[in-house]
Amino acid sequence: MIEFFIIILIIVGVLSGSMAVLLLKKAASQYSLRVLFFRRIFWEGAGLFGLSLLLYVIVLQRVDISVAYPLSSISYLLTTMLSVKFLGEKMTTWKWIALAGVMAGVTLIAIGS
Amino acid sequence: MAEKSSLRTGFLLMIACTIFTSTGQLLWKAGALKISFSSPLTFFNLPFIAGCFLYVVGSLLLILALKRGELSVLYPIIATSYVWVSILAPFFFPTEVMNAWKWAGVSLILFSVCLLGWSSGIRKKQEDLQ
Repeated sequence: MIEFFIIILIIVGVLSGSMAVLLLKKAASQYSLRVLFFRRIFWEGAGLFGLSLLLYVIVLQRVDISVAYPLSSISYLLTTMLSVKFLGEKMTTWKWIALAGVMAGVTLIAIGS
Repeated sequence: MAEKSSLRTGFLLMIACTIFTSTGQLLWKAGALKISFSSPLTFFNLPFIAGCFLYVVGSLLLILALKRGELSVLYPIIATSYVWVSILAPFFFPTEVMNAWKWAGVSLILFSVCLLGWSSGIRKKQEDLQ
């Protein structure tokens, strides 16, 4: 059984990772590379990215890969939902199928690990 | 048309990003085994530093890629890093071996990423026609 503490770490890690790429995407499409590194939104994204990476490493030290991989692959679903909601991106049936395939593939690797 | 070739560049940049970050992760792990907290100087071992460097390069490629397409298309490509890690890990760490489950997962991820690229290409075409 995974501890409550680990579940919290995973949830915060997945949330911050998805928020991070959303902010980085916004920053990257808004600003050129020259000014990007001087914009606050970029550093907010980069900071959250670092936080999610740190939490992921902590989780991997305490939980088996076969549990950590499938849980962290939820970030693909969350990021897609955030891009639809906040960036106005459109989904198609094929894109949903591909997303489900990616998550199933990560789960298969986890089973084999 | 310009949109489509830019998406292709984004795709390739994402793949390159995952190759850099997954090699970086493997080097990190190799380096982390040499680190002991009682002597902080062990943090400055070659695999660990090289791993950090590759990770930074990978992150820059991610930024460049994000300029060139939708997040819902580009982000799931990160999952190809599981493919590289699974295939490369046995060379770094002899105890980690490939098996049928891992091969099935690797194939499914690669197939899904191709599907993602193909389906977003189709939508671009439809939008161009309208």
